[in-house]
Amino acid sequence: MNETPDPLETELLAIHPRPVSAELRQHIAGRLAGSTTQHKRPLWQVALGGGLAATCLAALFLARGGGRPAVVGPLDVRPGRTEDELPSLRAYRQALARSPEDLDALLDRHTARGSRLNSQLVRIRAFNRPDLEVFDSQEMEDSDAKWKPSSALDVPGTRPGPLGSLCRRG
Amino acid sequence: MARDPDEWETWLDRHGAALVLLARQRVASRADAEDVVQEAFVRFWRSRHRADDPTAYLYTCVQNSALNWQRSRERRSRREEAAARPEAESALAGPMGQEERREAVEAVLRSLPETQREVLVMKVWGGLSFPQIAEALRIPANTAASRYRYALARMRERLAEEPIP
Repeated sequence: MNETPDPLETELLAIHPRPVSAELRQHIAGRLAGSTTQHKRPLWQVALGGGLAATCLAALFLARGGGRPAVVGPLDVRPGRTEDELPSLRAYRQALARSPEDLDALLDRHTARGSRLNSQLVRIRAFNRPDLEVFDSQEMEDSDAKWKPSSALDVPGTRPGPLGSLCRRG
Repeated sequence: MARDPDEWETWLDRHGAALVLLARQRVASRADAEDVVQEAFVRFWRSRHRADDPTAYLYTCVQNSALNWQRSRERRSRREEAAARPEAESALAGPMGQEERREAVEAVLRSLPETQREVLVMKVWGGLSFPQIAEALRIPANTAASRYRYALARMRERLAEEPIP
């Protein structure tokens, strides 16, 4: 059904709004031209960002050691290193691999050293003063410098192994 | 040569004048209205694919931009408001020899309530249907139609008082 056109509507249609200015057209053209490149940018920006993120994640993963298989290499048999450190299962295994006597010597050394270290720690905690700490630290260094392993190496009838002789200090 | 309907210039040629007129119902000058349309049109063009009815969405963008412009203007000082008063330039252009009638129509249009003016501009010069106007203004279609009828009735009444050229 066709409605009869309203005369006022017809009159209004004959009057029309002014066309947009050339400036408005230029401004829109400029902004949309800029937006065209902006729309393309995210494609490579996303790719670059994703690559960087993946690299960071991989670096973080590797830094934590998660990506590497556990390396079970040869035991550290450098003389004078493991036996001077605090007791460890590896040191005991190395000593036992050499000989039972070496294991006993290592146990004696760790026992003697551990008791001395523990006593130093107790003293530092008991007198928590800076001057005493300096004194105790110095004393500890001196005692370490003078320390020789009192081990089965000195026991008559035992023979010092190659590691035992190299780890002696002073 | 007809332009590709997917080119922004096709949309601007078709709706630009009505959009500026619509914006001018809420802002004081034509320059401000064109600024509003520029912002709205760029936003529309970048996101038009998401709209169910792109034409209605275009008018929604202009309407929202004009409202934002109006609010920001209201926050400004009174002196700036006075400087932005309506200019002398006409918003409408009519057939030669009917300038007085055009001026009368424009004066009556300005006297209408804002809500009726918006519907009238969208319907007459934007060529939108009532459902599209309803979507653009987020009002029921019946409300859009009744506002249009009221606007025409009031214009008819006021223009009847004008001397016929």
